[in-house]
Amino acid sequence: MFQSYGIHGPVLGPVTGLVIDIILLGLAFWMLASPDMRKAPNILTFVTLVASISLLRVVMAPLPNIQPVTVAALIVGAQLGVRRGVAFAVLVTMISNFIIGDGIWTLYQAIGWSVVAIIGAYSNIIVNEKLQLSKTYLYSIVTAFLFGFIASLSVLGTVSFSGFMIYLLNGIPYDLLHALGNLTMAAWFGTWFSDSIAKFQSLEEIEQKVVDGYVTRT
Amino acid sequence: MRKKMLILAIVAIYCLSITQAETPQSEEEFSLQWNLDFGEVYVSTQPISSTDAIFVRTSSSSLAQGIPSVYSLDFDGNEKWQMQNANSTKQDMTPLEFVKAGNGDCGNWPDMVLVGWSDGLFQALDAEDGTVVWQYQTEVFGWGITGSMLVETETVTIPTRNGIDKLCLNGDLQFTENTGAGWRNGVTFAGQSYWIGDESGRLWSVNHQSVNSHFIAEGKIRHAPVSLSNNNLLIHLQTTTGSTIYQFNTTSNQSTAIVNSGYGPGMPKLFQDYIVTTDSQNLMSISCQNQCSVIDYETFQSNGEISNVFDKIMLPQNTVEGGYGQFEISSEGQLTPLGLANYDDDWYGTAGIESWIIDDEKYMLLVNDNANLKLLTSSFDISVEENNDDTDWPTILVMLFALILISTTSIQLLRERFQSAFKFFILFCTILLYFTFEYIIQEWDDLINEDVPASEAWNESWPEEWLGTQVIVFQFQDNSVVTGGLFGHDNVLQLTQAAAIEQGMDVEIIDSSLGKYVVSIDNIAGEGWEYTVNGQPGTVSAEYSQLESDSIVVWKQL
Repeated sequence: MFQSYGIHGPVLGPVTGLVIDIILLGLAFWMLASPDMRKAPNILTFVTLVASISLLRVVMAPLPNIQPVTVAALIVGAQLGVRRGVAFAVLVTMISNFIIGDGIWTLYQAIGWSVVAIIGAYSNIIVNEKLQLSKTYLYSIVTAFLFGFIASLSVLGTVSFSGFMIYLLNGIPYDLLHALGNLTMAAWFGTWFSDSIAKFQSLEEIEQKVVDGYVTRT
Repeated sequence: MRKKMLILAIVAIYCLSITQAETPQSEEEFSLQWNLDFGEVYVSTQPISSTDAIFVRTSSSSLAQGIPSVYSLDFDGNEKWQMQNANSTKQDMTPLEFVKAGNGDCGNWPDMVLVGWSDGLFQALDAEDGTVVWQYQTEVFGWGITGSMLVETETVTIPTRNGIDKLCLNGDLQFTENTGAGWRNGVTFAGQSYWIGDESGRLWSVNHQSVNSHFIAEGKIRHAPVSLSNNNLLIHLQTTTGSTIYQFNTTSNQSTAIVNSGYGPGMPKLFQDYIVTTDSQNLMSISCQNQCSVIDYETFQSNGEISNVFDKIMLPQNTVEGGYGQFEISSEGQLTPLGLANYDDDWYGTAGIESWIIDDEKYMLLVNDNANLKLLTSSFDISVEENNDDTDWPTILVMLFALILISTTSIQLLRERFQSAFKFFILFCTILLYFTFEYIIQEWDDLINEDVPASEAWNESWPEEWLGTQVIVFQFQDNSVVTGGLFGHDNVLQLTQAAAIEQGMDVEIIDSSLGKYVVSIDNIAGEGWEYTVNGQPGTVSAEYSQLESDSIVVWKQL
């Protein structure tokens, strides 16, 4: 059911909103709780990624259903793995929705983009450190519709099953625009974004190897 | 060589697009003399003129917006007089009529402006000073007079809420007859009878001896039937799925469907040998020399009055962009678009365009629903096309950008750089989809959402006079506020705002990427608001959800 304010379900009361925020934040930090995320450069890289994509989403909010987060989550998932991909998806959703508008849909969007990140991690879209564009395009389209479906689940409970199907049907033009936006993002910025993350990754790996080597020698 | 050819082609296409954008929008050169804003009221009917004055009526559904009035202005736009009617708050749709002074069997009368009000009052005002020459109260059921009257030599025939009243021009009643309940249903004379439609799809013939009704089809007749040669009539019937144009034979009382068309039919008008009809989809020319048939049509959205402006068809575009479409009709009935005249304050429009000539100088009065009245004359050299500078640049820039993208795509394809070509092509597609998105959503909405009749959501406790009108309910957690008897609102947002004004409530609206959204009603946001139309959940922004003339909208606080 389409809302007067907020597209994917009712605006939350303060307590419900707080509970959802705590769950999502807890999930994000749990996902980030790995040894390599205790290093300042890794944290800085990750924070930069989250902040820049959140900002980009806020800036692009006036464009209907152009979602830079989807392709970003796909590539972050592919480059940094499931845990950091999911953490990235959750944090970007929370931060950007804090400005765009918070509600029950934050939970479903976070789940949607987390699923996209997981798909990215298992999709083999990066081979020999190079982003495979054809595969990325395919996943960009598929994940747009998948994300649309997951985000739409937020209306369950307020509409009947047939109402939900009508809601999904009505969402098709939006999903189509999302898919086209994803393709554009992937085509124009996919390789650059992937290489940028890989560069940070490489520096971290080099640093790690140096540290490991020093520890081994001593 | 290939590169040069390509560059040449791009330059040629670019020049062509700019040339098309600068094509004069009117053959006549008109300049704006003055522009009057009557405030928060509406104007839905064509202003009229006499030899020395202009008359325009404003309407309102709430006194907070302004008092419904008739104004007389001089040609410099200065007010000569104003007649108010604070009781007429059901949207006045009856066109004004100017009557020259005269005498006859009906007595004497001065130059008069005849006014039908939605509270049922009919007034004959002295055109010189606005004083009431005589007045007459018609029956009221929810509302009173909303259709166009018929002025003959010594009489005026008024479409009342529930029938026809014929009066002498000195105010004496000649006869009163009951027909079906109607709205915006004007009167026509043909074959020794007066003809009027109603809200049940029936056409009524009224004369001194009898009153008869003829069922055309399920729907609403909301215009004066057009009288054709051999006493036939043309009806543009509003239906739940759009509209259908019928030819009605007044001798055999048989109706024949000619063609289906779009929603919200306007007022058909006789133009030379053709009838011109309009609705949300098409402007059509129809020939009825033998059997009526469609000669030509052009895509255009207009739902009100059509005007003959210096032998050209001119009508307001009833969209948020507004403007005034101009078309030429050939002797074969072919329609040729001449362009759209645009102004800074354009908005939805339904009122026709008044035009006249004095001393070889052409005058034109344009008015939109927002009550912005303009006088244009042909005496100066500034042309209408100069308005392009104010309105078309964003379109030209977007077109140019799109052209560059598609050209670059072609160049990259020829250079066999497929990856790069794809990048430009996909960006072009995204931009194209973005700029057409509003239309796509509306078309998609029409395609997949079933039209449910308003009767499904009708509440038996509501007043009967609200039947066939737009009704809106604000369901707060502890009470409901119902507003009915509203007309002419194209989408849920417009209706919501109009009802809120009538109830003295604030509606907070925000812009979002998916359209405008209602945040709070009467300063209550709750956990959001959702709406239904005829019981069906809204699936697009309230701004994009189109309404019928009898839609029932319910806003529910979550």
